Amino acid sequence: MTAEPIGFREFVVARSPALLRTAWMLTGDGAAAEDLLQSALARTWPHWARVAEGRPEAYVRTVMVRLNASWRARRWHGETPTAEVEAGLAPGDHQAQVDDRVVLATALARLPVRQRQAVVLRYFDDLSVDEVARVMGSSPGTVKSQSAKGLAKLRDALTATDTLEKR
Amino acid sequence: MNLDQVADRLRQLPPALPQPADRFDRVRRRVRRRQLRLAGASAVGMVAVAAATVGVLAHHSSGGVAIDRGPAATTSRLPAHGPSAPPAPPSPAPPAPATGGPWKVNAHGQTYGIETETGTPDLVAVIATDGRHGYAYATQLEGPRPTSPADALRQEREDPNGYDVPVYESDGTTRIGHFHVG
Repeated sequence: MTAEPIGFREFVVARSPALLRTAWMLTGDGAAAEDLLQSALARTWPHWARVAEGRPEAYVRTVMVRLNASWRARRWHGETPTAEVEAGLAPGDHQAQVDDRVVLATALARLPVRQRQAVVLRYFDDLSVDEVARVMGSSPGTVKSQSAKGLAKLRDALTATDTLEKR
Repeated sequence: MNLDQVADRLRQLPPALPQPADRFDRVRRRVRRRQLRLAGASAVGMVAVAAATVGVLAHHSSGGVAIDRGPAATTSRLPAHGPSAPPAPPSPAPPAPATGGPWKVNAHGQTYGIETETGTPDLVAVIATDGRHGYAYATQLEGPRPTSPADALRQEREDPNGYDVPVYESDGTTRIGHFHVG
């Protein structure tokens, strides 16, 4: 067993809360987020001596994004609920008071994985377009288009809910 | 609603997430499990290298490839590759103490090698804390089996950071280091 790398424990303690939030945004599930974070940290451990000299948080975030993409490709995503519930809701119906956060989380989960990653990194983690491109391993142009499309879909979902609530 | 407002709501989306106090230890356990798997893969690679450099490869009638190390040595069989490999004939019931199945057998009759989907050898390939390749007894790697949930909790309390097991050469007696489980 390799000895504990110097400074790695402190990094895990200090940065895990922020990284866990990013992991949750990528997965939408608390347990999956913890799993993703721990897996990324475990893969960072052997390279810590090199990683620590640069930007370790960016490295872990990159590992998380790539792991997330491969996990998404392997896993069944469950049934996708239809959007037809709207037709059954009467104006002023109590059930129409849908929590924005639930709507946003659901809309986020429905984004294609690359759009979701671009949106999370760009607008949740506030990374620059170039930084997101480095993490995702794609071009800045692709990041711009993916994040813009993703954000527009989230806006559409929220707007649809607002419209429903105002009826 | 404009896109900036969407981004603002996005930043407020994650719920309060629990932060396990033992996250670092969990990460360390994952690193060890990864190293154990890598040690297994490395052992497979070493068998292949040994076959290419030391052994004499000969196509075996069972469709596998046998590594001939002379009359006194054990024979290790690698799986057949490709569709042209002839089908394996019905194999006789293996004499339990004499064959190691997919693993090699040392002079004491103990199997050694990597864990596979079908089972575990007596001595499991590991990487010792000093980086040396060796083998640890599977029974010691598993540790004492808890007899009840309460017993499992007691073991966890007694060994919160895991435990060390000895690492041996393939003979199962020459100690070369230790491997930390936990």
